[in-house]
Parts: sequence; C-alpha cells; structure tokens
Amino acid sequence: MSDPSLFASPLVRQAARNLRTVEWLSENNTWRFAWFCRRDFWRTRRMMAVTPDEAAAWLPALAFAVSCEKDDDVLAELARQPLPEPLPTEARPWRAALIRSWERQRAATSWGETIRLAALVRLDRRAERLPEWLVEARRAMDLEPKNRHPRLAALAGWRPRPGDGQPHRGKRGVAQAWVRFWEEAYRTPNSELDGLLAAAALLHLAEAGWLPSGPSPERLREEFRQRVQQWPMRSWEDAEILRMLLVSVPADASAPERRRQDIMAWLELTGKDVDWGKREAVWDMLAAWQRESVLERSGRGRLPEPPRLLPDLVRTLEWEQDMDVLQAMAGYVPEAAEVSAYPEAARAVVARWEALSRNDDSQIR
Amino acid sequence: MARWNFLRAGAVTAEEQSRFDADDVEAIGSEDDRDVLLALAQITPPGTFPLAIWTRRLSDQDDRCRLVARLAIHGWLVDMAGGGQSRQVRQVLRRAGQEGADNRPVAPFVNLPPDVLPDFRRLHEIETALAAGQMPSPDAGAGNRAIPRTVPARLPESYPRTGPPGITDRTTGRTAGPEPPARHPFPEVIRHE
Repeated sequence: MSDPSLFASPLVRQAARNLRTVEWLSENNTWRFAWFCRRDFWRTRRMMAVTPDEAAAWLPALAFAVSCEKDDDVLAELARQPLPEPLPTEARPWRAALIRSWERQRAATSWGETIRLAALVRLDRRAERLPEWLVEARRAMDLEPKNRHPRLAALAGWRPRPGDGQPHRGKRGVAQAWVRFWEEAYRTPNSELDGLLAAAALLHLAEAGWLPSGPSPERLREEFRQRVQQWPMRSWEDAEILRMLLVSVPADASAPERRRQDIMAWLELTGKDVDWGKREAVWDMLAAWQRESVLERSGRGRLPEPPRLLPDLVRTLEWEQDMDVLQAMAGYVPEAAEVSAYPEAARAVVARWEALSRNDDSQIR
Repeated sequence: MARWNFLRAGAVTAEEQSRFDADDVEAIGSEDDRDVLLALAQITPPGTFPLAIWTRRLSDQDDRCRLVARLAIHGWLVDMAGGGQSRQVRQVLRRAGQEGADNRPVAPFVNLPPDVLPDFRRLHEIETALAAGQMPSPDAGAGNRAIPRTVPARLPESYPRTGPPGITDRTTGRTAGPEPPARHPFPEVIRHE
C-alpha cells in the first residue's frame, strides 16, 4: 500500500509540524506546570497575522492542546482561537477532531463548563445541536446570577451557519423554541445584563433571517452596542462575559456604509473615559474583524471592505497605557490599501510600537 | 507582536524592517521577560536564524527562558526539515556524519541538547495520519526516545530561514507548505543571508 504522507499537501505538512511542536512542548515539565506559559503561547498565536491556511494548519495542534488541558484560563484562550471559514476541505476532519476534544473535556468548575459550552457553540453551528443548547439555556435560568450570566453568554453566541434558514419539519419546533427563549429574555430581562445577552442572541438570529417579524438586524446591532455602553462592568467575570460576547459578533456585512458607521460607533467605546475591560474587548473585536477581513479578501474574497482604523490607532496609542488594551491593539493587521490611504498614520503607528517595544515596563514590551 | 504584524502585512519600510531585525536579534540575546521572549520565539522573520544566540539562552538560569529557547530552535529545525530545506539539513547531517539511515533522531549540532532535535519518525507518523484524514494516535514513544549522539559540527548559521510570505500577497497562494514562495514576500527589504 502506498504511504499517504507521500501525497501530503503543504497544508497537511504544516499541520503536522504544528502538532508535533505542541506535542513536543507537552512533554516538557516546565510547560506542563506553567499554565501562564501555555496561555501566553496561544494568546500570541491568536494575535498573529496569519493566512486562512495557516490558521487551519493549527487546528490539529489545537485539538491536541484541548485534549491535554485542565486549566480554565488556558482553556478560555483555546476557545478563542481563530477559525477560518470556509475551511479547506482537508481541514474539515480537524475541526471535527477539535469538536470531539471539547466534547470530551471534563470541566471541574462551573466556569470550565461555561468555556466548554462557548467553544462548542462557536465551533458547531449546525441547527441539529439546538436541542442540546436549549436544554442548557433553560437549565442556566435556574442558576444564580454569577453562574447564569456566563452560561447564557456562552449560549447567546450561537449563530446559524451562513445560508441556513430555519430548519423544517422535525427541528422546526426546537428552532422556534430557541427563538422564543431569547425573545422572552429580551422582553422581560431579569437584569440589565440578561437584556444585553438576549440582544446579542437575537442579533445573530436576525442576521441569519430567523426573525422575520422581529426587530431588524440594524436595530439589534445598534441596541446591542448601546447596551454594552450603558452596562456598568464591575468584576473580572464581567470582563470575561464581554469578551465572550464580542468574540461571537462578526463585522456587519450588510452594506459598507452601515458597517463603517457601526465601527465608528464602537470606536467611541475605546475612549479614555471608558472602562479598560470594554476598551480591551472592543479593540480585540475590531482587530479580529480586520484580521478576518484581510484574510478573507486575500484568501477567498468574501467580505466587502475591511475597517480602516490606522488613524484611530495612532490617536489611541498616544495615551493608552493599559497592558491588556495595548495587547489587544497589537493584534491589528492593516491592509496594504489602508497603508496607502494613510501613509503618515502607518509610519506613526510603527514608530509608536517601536517606542513601546523598548519600554522599561516588560509587560508593555 | 504589533511590529511583526505590520511587517507581515507588508506595511513597513526598508528602514523600519532593518530596525526590527536589529531589535529582534538584540532582544533574543538580552530579554529577561519570559513572556516577551516567548513571543520572540514564535515570530519568524526572514533572514538568518540566530541559532548561536538562542543556543546561549539554553543555559539561562530561568527554566521558562530555557524552554522558550528550546522551542525556538526545535521550531526552526522542524520548519527547515519540513519546509523545503530538508536537503540542506541533510547536508549538514552528512557533513557531521550524523544522517540517520531510517529517520531516527540524530544530533547534528554541537552543544544542542538532544531534546531540541526533531523526532522525524513521529513527525512522519503525524503527517501520515493527517494526510489520511485522521488524527494521529498518541505518541507511544514519548518519554522513551533514543538519545541521539552528539558530535562536534559547525553551527549551521549560514543556513537561512525563509520567513513566511506576506499575508495579503495574493500571488503566493498557500503559504503553509514546503515550497518557497515564488517571489520574496517582503520585496522592499534587504535579506541578510
């Protein structure tokens, strides 16, 4: 029989090298005992500029890392890793392997269970999983707020696959029950945060055409943003909830002008007077939109126009000092056309990053 | 990381690129923050891989810094072997009289601990499984590897590392594979090979 590796594609070869590297790391005691080392490794990976195929080539390594991981902070980082869409055909079994790894995760804490759910909801967007998510959502309503909110945030991130209309026949009842669950939470929220979570869930359903007689995607986008603005974040858990929610929100793909207005409005949440947790989550989201957009355009040409944030990046870099916010901003990857349109801003951003990379504070370096 | 992202996007000038190269090499040698060093080990600028500097960091007092140095060197060797430069790796191995007859681990480089050397047997197993659409079975040999011989050999610093192509370069197509890109991804910059 012939050796399959003789016909391995470049993507497979790269995926094998990545997986072997992570396997090799996992044999090292320092790696095994220093959870922050593992978290920082994957965080750096997430922030790096990559092509869609490079991102796909990390899926087997990611599946392996999830299968070995027990630490909630590292798992939270693994759950946020980029997922190129659409996936190259040969990478589809790797996503299935990643889903299996998350399914086999045995969470020791409520927070761990929430992370596992968030990862699965993000990875597996088939309507066939809805009965399971609906059970989880109803069960979450019986939890106390500190456990209920993260759980609902994880579930609110569910988005139907592109082109998937409401399922017919057997599954229709579950899909309608899912819509009703979130409409009810939206109309009569238990708290400000419950209303924010419901708005996020309905936004995803509206953008997929699942709310023919409900609020429009435009209205929900605006309302979601306003609710984020008004919500007073009070704790570390709140910051995690916001991160989880914003990771699930894609860039507005309806029309370039509407998308531009949406981005401008989000940028208001990166001002000096805004809580650092919001600044970080919003920059993280905007940088992710930019990275995905550049990737999609260079790889498959799906999104119309990436955000052009270089001038805003310059203005913010003049005063921003928070390490976490700066880290989110460091994930910004400009597009060539953007650099041509704002050459001075591009030079100023590079100069500012150069200065920051020589900063005495190692956390900023 | 921010500077690396701009570099990969093709958004830096030749001058900024040369400052990046200089800062990168200096930081690898002197950085005392483990997180910064970890980020440095994960970026792969085009040009010569600073093997000698990373090798010095292998004797760092801090165990995480040592791990990061191992990661950088292991990653470079794996990429060279699997990334279209396997002939060069083989040449180095041959000169050192170290080429393995059957993909067994070999130790071509002086002063490198055995555990940074890639296990080509396992890499081949993984590649075979992934090419067949499966995840590889767990590594049965983990923790029980043959320790490669180490013999003196010239540090192969003259072997360049090919950096990844720019992410917005449509002409390069797939970038994860072994074929070197058709044209250099950073046309404005000078490579110091």
